[in-house]
Amino acid sequence: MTWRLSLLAGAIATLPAQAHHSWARYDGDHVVTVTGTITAVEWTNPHVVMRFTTMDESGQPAEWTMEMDPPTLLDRYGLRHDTITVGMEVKITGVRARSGAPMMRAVMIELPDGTQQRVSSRV
Amino acid sequence: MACVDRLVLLTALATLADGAFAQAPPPAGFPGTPPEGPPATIRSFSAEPSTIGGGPDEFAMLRWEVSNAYSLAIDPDIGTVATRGAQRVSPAVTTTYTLTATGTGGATTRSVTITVPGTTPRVVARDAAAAREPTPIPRLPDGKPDLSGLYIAERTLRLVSDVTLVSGAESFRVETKEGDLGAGVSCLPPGVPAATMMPFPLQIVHTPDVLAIMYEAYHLFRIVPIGREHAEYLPPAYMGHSVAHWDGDTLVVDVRGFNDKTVIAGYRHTEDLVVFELYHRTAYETIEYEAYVSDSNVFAAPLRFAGTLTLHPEWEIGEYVCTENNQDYEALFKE
Repeated sequence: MTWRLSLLAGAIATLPAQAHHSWARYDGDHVVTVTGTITAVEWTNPHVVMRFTTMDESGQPAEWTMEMDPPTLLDRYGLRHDTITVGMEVKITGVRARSGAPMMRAVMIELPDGTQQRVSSRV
Repeated sequence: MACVDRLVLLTALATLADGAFAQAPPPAGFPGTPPEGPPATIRSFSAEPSTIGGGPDEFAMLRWEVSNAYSLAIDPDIGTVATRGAQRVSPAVTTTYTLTATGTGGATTRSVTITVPGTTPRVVARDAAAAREPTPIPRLPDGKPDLSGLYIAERTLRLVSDVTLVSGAESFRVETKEGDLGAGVSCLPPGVPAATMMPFPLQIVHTPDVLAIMYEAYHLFRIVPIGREHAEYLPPAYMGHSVAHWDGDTLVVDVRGFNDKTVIAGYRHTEDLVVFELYHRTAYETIEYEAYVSDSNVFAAPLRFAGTLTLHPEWEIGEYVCTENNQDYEALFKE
């Protein structure tokens, strides 16, 4: 599997009042980086959603979903809606759903040209 | 005004006099230890054409695109710019323009030169940004500070006081359970000062009579009359009802008439909630903001929130549609 555990340990903070979607659903103790191929981009509010395929522990393709900040914030970070496209291989850094669902909240993605792009107000 | 309100306001103004704004603790962000954010990256910066004649009708276009910058500026002459854009320039002599992008880990720069043949290149100060004259705080026709502009609090705005409860108020605490979707998923207005604490900008339009605050988040707005008293009856509202008055150069906004449906610092409250907001424009680029929150049915002492609203003249309020993928947010977590 291509998950690379960064093993950034720390206490889970109380859910900030200003959160929109709750971060309580994610394992904030462990930041991971995964390589995947984009299968769909939903440029939606209040969170942009991207579907991607990665390889699971047994080397089989697995379908995953990740959410990012809203379109207005991504635009201010410098990410255009047409920069991430279906078929593109990207590295996604973020946190996984605690439930074990194939879902993550991304904070940064690395584009094929090597550019690291912020996608969350939390970093 | 009730005694408790006077106490809140006096405390607030005493704090102002002490200059305690800078004492807010560092912001919390990521749930856990956050990874370091990516550095500011200048993806492109160009001048087209790179040579011009120098006449009054001659010009070149600067174009740029940047990722991850907290702030961006082009020197000389241009100043703060948005994350991508184009700017027409007409230098009379050969001039080197430098784009400075500041983000996590510091600043990165890139320069382009527009050549005007036969001229002596312009000498630009090595730290042109620091050499720029500070812009004075704008004033309204009545002489008061003009708060107009587009600002964001980012993560500076925090609860900076202890939360002490009156006896029996423990039941107001909101327990967050694993798996909760969070209050925001309902798309209901978060109240005051929570709307300002979100990671979205707000636009202030200020006249001597009215302060209008338009939030990108939820597309909320508040119209705040200046110099008026509250109406005798205030129907309960998520964002309350606001009136303002000046205390020196600080605009004090009195917010009451809330419903009991929002959450403050992890606690529900009653319709007796009162918030005093203080807006003090300390520089052209900043408003120091405080909010004092009291509800004598819940809190034994006012809660104090403090932070800095930073001006971003290069931004515009964008579209925010809360309900689009919140309608079936749970579906994203299917196993």
